[in-house]
Amino acid sequence: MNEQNDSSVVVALGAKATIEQVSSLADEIRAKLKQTDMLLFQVDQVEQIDLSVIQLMYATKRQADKEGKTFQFTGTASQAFLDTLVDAGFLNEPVDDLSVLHRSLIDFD
Amino acid sequence: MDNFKETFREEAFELLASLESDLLELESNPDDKELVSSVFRVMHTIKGSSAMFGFDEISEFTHEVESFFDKVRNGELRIDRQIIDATLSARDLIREMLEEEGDSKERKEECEAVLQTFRTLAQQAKGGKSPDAETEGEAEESPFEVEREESNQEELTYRIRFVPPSDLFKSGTNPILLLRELRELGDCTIIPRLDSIEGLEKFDPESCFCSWEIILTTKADINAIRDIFIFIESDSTIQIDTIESFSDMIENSQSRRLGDILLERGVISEETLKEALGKQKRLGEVLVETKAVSRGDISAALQEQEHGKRVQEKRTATLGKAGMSIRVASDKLDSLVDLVGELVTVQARISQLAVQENDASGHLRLVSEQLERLVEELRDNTMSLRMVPIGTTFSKFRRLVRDLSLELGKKVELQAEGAETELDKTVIEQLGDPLVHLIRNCIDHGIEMPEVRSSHGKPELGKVLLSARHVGATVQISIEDDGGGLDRDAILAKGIERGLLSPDGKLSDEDIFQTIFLPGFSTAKKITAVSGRGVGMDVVRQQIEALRGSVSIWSETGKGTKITISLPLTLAIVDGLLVRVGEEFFVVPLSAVEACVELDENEAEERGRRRLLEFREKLLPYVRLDDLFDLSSDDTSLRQVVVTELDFNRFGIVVDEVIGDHQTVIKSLGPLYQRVEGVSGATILGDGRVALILDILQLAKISAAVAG
Repeated sequence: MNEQNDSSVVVALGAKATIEQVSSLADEIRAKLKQTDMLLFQVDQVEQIDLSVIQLMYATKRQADKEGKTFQFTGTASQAFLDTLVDAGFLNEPVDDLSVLHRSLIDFD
Repeated sequence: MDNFKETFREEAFELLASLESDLLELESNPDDKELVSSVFRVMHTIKGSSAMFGFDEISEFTHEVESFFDKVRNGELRIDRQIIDATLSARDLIREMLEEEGDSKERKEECEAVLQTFRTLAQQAKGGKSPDAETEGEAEESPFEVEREESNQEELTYRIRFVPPSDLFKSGTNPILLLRELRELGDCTIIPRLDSIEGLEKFDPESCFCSWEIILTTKADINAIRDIFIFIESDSTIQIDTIESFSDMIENSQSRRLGDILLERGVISEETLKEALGKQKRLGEVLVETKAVSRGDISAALQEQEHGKRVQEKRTATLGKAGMSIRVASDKLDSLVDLVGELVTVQARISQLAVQENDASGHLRLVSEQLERLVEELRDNTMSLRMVPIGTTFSKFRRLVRDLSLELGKKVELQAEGAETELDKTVIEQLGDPLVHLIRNCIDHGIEMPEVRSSHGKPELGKVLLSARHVGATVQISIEDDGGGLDRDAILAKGIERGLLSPDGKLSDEDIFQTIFLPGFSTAKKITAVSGRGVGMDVVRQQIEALRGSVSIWSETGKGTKITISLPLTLAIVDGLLVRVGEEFFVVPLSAVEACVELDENEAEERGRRRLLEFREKLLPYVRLDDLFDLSSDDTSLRQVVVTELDFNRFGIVVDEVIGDHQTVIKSLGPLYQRVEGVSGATILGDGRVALILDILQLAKISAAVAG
């Protein structure tokens, strides 16, 4: 478990974040969300991401909203991560500041 | 349809002109991918438009050339001289087909021969695959089908609803790749819908919950869109609709309202819309609050609205660009120039009235001055409409130089400078032939054979420099080569032998070199198909002088020759000298005027039919306009002589009075007067009277004929 500070917990995506990893990633998120009010998503290592993991991000956000918790991105984003979001229509254009990514993602916030 | 065909032809000619220029450039830079793409695009455009306008022969022919260039574009073939030769031949054939519609057995054979060359070249590059197999292969690959559809289609906007199956990931399909392909078809807004994801509780991470609405504005047809989904269409919901209101919106430059979009998408009913609008709040908020729609629906509709605005902006920008240059028939421009000419005349009359009339308040003069300024500006603007860059003519010569140097076994490169220099369209049109002749001469007589150049320590590649620049109210065009230069002594000897030059005269190099522009002069040791018939250079000079221009020449043995042509910016206006004979007025083009002197008839001589006077210690022949045009003149013994020099002929024109400079708009004479010798046009003076513009060249001939 990556803990950034007392109140937030980080979920770090690896280089490959695709259908092969999505189930274990979902389990990790479910577990971490139970332990914290602020879940942070770290995506700087991502070299490959697919729709299944993007869906998981949205599901996590909606779950966090339901529970009154915070789900945000942290650190920097890899180009591959941003490009895939743009290509799939979730983002109109790549953003530089990852702290505002949640506001730029379509239907995320 | 004929108008459309004509427009297509005009555009195709322009494309072919740029194609020729690109090909010649490509020959020097065979690895320039941009040029290869440009050649491909020209072929692609001509193929598409010719099919649309029923030029099937061109379309079929161009299709094969385009296919060949696609291979070049894809790096399967590399540009070489043979490819350039074949493509230039193809270009010439397309031009021929555009000029002469209809079937011709001979042309079909020529087309087939060129296509065969392309097939062979492609075959060679592939290492021996048979041409037939090549063609079959192409048919199977069909690399141009989509693009052919594109070119003929009007741009349409589609709404595509793509709902993949929930087990999509299990089949290993990545829908994002399909979305990337869609983006390549045109302007695309991809709107993901994840409405069914509520949280992690019931979320199966290996199932697909996402669907998309895609707004695509493209020239590709619906089948091209369907093709993208071909592998998953049986398991997915794929609905493709044309958004009709999009075209209307773009046509009317209006934005589609959110309510209309939601109605069209079938998300809300008209009643719900009316109800929501009645609440005086933002429509989206009301509809979400009342749970009539989801946030996703509003977001999707807003993105569709945004897409519309973007496409509209793009279209406006494109139209704006098109608006920067519009195609106008040249006769309309000519008629505009005529009308402006009339206006200049009327304005001159008003100015004259303002001076003559008792205008105590000065109002008339003030208005007249304002009018004068406006008319002057209008005249300059109108004249500038007919100005076109001379580069269009220059580019034609690159082909000439290439073909000619190949034919003569010489290595010649054409360089152009000042292609952007603007000149009256009419002047440019009439300049083509003289320039062709001068360039031919440069290559034929000027530039030496490669081995000769090498032996003289020069590079084998000869250079012809074609340049243009503005000098005051004239344009100077020069044709310069770095060849052997003119043989001064041979020209002098030939000039004396032919009686064109005086053996005891003190002649400058320029005087001697100018002899080559005299009729019948040729020093070519043999007559070639290119030049050297001795009939060209004098015709060149006549053509230039007919444009009210002049030619000068410089040459140095071993270094090269430079011929400079000076031309007026426009043929529509002439700077003239206004003269009077009795009650009649004439305009002498100022460019031909050398001096004005008084004629004391007591001192003038008449030798037979020749009339002579002494001017600068030489005898000057002269003509009397009153005699020539049978006019009554002033009863005086003191008249004026306008001394003119053109074509190395100096002669005088006797008039009653020299009034002064007069810039005037030339009006052509009606058919009845067009054959009147000695007059090239007319102009209307400020007081409404007509003044004829004298044709000095013809007057010189008349003068010579009278003198016998």
